[in-house]
Amino acid sequence: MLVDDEEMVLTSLRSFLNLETEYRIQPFLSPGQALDYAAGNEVNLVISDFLMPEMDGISFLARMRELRPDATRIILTGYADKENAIKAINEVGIFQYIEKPWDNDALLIAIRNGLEKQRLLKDLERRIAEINKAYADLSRIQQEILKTFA
Amino acid sequence: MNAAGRSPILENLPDIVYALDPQGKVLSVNRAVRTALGYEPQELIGISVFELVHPEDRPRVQASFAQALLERDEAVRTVEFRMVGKSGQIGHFEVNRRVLFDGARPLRSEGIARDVSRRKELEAQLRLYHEVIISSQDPIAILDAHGRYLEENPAFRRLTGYGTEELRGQTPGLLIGEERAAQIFRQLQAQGSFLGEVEVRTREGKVVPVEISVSPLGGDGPRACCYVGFARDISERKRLEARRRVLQQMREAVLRMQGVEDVEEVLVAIGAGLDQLGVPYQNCGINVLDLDAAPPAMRSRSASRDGRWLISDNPASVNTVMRMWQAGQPTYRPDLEADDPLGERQYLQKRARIRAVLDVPFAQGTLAVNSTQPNAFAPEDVALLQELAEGLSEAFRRCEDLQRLALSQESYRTLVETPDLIVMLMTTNGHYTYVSPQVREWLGYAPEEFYQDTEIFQRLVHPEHLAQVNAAFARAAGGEEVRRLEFHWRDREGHWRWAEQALFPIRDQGGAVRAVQAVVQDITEKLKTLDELAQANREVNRAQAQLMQAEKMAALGKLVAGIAHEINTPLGAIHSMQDTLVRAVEKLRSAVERDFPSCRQHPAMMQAFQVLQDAHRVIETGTRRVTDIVRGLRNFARLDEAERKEADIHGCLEDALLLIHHDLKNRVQVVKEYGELPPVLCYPGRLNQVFLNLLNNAQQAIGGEGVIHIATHRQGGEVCVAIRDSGVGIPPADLPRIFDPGFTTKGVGVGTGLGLSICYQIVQDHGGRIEVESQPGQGSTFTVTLPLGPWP
Repeated sequence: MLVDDEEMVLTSLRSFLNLETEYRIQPFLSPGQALDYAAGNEVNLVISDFLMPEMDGISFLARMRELRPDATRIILTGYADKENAIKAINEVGIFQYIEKPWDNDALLIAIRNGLEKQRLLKDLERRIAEINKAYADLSRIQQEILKTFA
Repeated sequence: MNAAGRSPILENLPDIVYALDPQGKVLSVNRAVRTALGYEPQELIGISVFELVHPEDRPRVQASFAQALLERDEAVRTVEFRMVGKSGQIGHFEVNRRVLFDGARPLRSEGIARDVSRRKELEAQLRLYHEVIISSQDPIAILDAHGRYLEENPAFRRLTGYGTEELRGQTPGLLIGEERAAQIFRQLQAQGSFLGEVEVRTREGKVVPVEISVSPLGGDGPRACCYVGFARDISERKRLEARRRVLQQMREAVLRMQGVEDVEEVLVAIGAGLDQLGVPYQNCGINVLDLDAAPPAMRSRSASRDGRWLISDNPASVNTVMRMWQAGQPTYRPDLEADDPLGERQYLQKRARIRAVLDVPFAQGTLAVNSTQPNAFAPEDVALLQELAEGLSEAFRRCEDLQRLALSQESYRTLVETPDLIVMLMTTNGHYTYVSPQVREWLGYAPEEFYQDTEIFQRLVHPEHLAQVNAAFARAAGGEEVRRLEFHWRDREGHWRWAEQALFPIRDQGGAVRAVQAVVQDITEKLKTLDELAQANREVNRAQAQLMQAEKMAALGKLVAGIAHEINTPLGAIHSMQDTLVRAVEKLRSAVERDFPSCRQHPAMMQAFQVLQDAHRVIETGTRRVTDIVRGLRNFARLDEAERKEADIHGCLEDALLLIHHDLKNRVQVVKEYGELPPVLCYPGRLNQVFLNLLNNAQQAIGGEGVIHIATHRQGGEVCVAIRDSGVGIPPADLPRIFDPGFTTKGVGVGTGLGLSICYQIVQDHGGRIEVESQPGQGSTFTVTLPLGPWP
């Protein structure tokens, strides 16, 4: 998911990613619409602008975190304001901030890492679930065995 | 005796020769009788000779004749008597006669009668002259042809003290000196007479001035048989003349008085005069009463007190002088040791044994003289001083008038004595007659010190200003008004104070400049206030400039931040898109080359790919340039960084250079000589501002093509940044002002005049300094020296 109030930013990001990757990309000019979409659809990674007229990037990502806690959050800022960026990272939990103007390769690495992280996390989650399930099965089997041998 | 009458000798004698009978009748007479008495000889024959005798002498002549007859006296007798001539004229005759006897019987009387009328006349005259000479009060002397004293009168003897015997045979050289005598004698020979003054040394050795008049007698010059000299003792006249001269000298000193201070010269003149008159005085002085004061005050001045007034602190002596002043008459104490009517002996004899004291009142006090000799002053001395005192009264009144001329009204005096001004009134010869009392507060000197000491002003004024101040006074004394003359003078403690003075000539009714009035203003405080004001003004300007600059920079910072953001967004898009484009084109090319190998031979397509490649490169470069500029702007706008931090000075310089890159480009070459610099603790944003300013000035100073050298090096605990340009340089006159707020040479609209003053302030805030060296036409070097920190 890409969110920026500037159409040219969205276009350039989408063009690059389309060209270089196979990701499914959902660009949004409005953070509101993006949140609406996220409420009903799976989102793996979100790249958001920092300064937007409707809603600032941090608030938007905070909402995204509520809706889709798994989604990797990357913020794109036009103003190298480390203080704010650090605040955002601490408050909202952001995977990475990227300064405008950005370097496409660096961006791509960040996205890949983010997705990888997300994938790993999901994988971890799945495995934990599997383990939990196995554990539960084991527990159930144990109880059945106990019940059987009791 | 008839024969006698006929004898031709007897007949022709000038004397009368006669014969008488015993009765006295004429027997014979010669012709001389005609001349002597006017008778013919025949007329007288038989006539009684006694009828011819003057009636007054007749009894005496008859008696003498009778006696001769009676006594039979035959001796020749001389008788003198008068005879009356035919026409009644009277003649004196000296008669030698004898009576001839014949035994006891008288025969006749014979005689010769000589007419002595002329001699008698001369004798009488001579007696008279002698009488005149003897009784004359003027000395008279008669000298012979050789100039020796023949005769002199008692007055002459009284004058010279010599007696007749002592003078006899002497020449005047005895009395007036040989030289003077010879000189007079020569003049007598040449001119026939002498009239002049000589000094006669008397027998007692006293020198007496004498006026003499010498005339020759019996012929002029060498033919003179004797000389008569009239003398007159003129010592009294001389003395009176001397007194008159002395009085005149004293009066002239009085007349010259233009201010009370000039009384000094009067005292000197009195002293000199009394010396000339030989009056044995010890001291002379003047007591001036101030009856307006309460209690009455007095100041005194004497010839021996080297030009200073003595303010009397003794009420008793003030009273004494006041009483003498009120008396209106001279008060003479001839001998204090015999009589001390005013009880002043002890006081007066403190220094010298004063015996005689004389006070002569004048309008404002008394003129006083004293002496160590009793009865030192004669009545005529008293009169002299009295006459002088009258002149002095007039002079004092004149001086007072003069003073009043300037201080005529009480309101004016109030003005004169306002605390902000000092008014001084001076005579044209520099004596102070009035100094307003504030001078004491200003300078610590009393007005009296100015009255006493003409030179005081000369000592107080700063030597550098003295000539100017004196010239101004001379101009004012010459009748010109002088305004706004500033000078430095020193108070009693030695502090210099600034004064501003205006001088006005004061004229009398005749239009002559009689005094100069000075109005002096103490402008020390004013100047100090002005100075402080200027200083404060500079600080306000600087603070304001800084504030303006800070606000400007804050606003600029916001603007720059906004712009950076605004630019970064499209820039980011362009940058990214361009990269994407490169990738896309690359993919396209790979696909085309793979699927259509023949396209390599297709020049148009290859050219299109080449254009795309060039476009990519240009866009890439441009984008990077824009990216750098925006980063520079962003760094530069770090004004809100309130915290100081360690920064790289070279980085700051680079950021600044980046921002003026468009102004330098191909025109100005930048030569960097960067040394090894440690990080410096500073406000980087503000230092950026300093460097930007200096670099911008440097490129503006160059105008056309040139070089900017930037050299940095470390020096102990400091770093130095020297920015040198090859520009026009700064005129030496402007150098001291270039860091002043508002000073600009760039003209309206180009510079604010604040840049360097802010640089100065910023560098100062960093505990550093900024220095400039400049040669007009050669360029300028600004050196910023910063401590590594920590700084205050």
